[in-house]
Amino acid sequence: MQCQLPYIPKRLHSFGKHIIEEFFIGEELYYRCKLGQCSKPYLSISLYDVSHNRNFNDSKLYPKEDVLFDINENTDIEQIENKDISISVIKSLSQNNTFEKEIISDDDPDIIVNIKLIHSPVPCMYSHCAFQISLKDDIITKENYSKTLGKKPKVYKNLRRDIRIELTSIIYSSVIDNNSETEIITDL
Amino acid sequence: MENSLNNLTNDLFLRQSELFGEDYEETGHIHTFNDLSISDLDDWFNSVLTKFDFLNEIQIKSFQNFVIKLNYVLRQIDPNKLKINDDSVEDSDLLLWRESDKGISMITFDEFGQIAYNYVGKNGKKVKGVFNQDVDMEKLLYKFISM
Repeated sequence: MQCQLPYIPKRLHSFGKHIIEEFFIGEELYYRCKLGQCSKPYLSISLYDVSHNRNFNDSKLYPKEDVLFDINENTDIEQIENKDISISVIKSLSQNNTFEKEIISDDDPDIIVNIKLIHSPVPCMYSHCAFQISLKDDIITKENYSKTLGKKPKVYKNLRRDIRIELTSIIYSSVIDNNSETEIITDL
Repeated sequence: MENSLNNLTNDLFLRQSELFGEDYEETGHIHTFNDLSISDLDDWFNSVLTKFDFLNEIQIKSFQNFVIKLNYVLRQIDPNKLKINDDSVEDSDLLLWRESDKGISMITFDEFGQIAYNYVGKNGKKVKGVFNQDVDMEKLLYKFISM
């Protein structure tokens, strides 16, 4: 499908371009957040649509400001206003050359969440990527959220908090580090 | 009325406190960094209960325990330096958070009675702990304000 929005530059059109599954050390990811919220993203972060733009280590061709383009074809807005841009830099990657983090439930070790950074171009934004969250075999979406990760029991509440912390850390520290660990305190 | 009841409950807790019950008996009231701070703390406690009226009994009790310990800490620290913020998560949990020049500390009093501590550092450091109501609130508070 081709991009129909006239204000989107050709360089951002996805048509005819390949998905690049690998990410690169030093590559920058850009995240659009409410004014003043980039420094404290915990409360506003979504658990099913954690969209970013990537720059393929080419900030001239893919500048951070691209993340402000409105790519929703149902609106008449070109640029999304009153937003800040958070920049995160990739420091380390998994063997698959992406960011992959497994969160095992403290309450039930059979319940595992995966967070994976994927390149997911959309017609008007080739550089679009996302932290894809999956629970068992379900990729979490707005539609299935309440029946999957958003379920009421304590085990899911704790998982959601762990995911928020993981994503908050990426945005807050401006670093994507596949090797980062969480220190667990128990002696209080 | 609500305020008086809370004061009464606080007094009861303080009288029974091994840590500063003795001080309480001596003075008959609590001295903090200044007289204003204790009234602020009381007001803050009440405002949180009003603002987040979904909090259940266990959450209120845990939060009250936190405030009581905070009251003690305010003898030594100017409350303005602590800058504790309150928010809600998922319309069911109370989140207290503060930012230092190193990172963000968070305490969540969730709807299940759990008290979760999290820290996210500017250097990427992450710390977590999930406790029940038996947690040593003084130690938790210390961690919260020292990170």
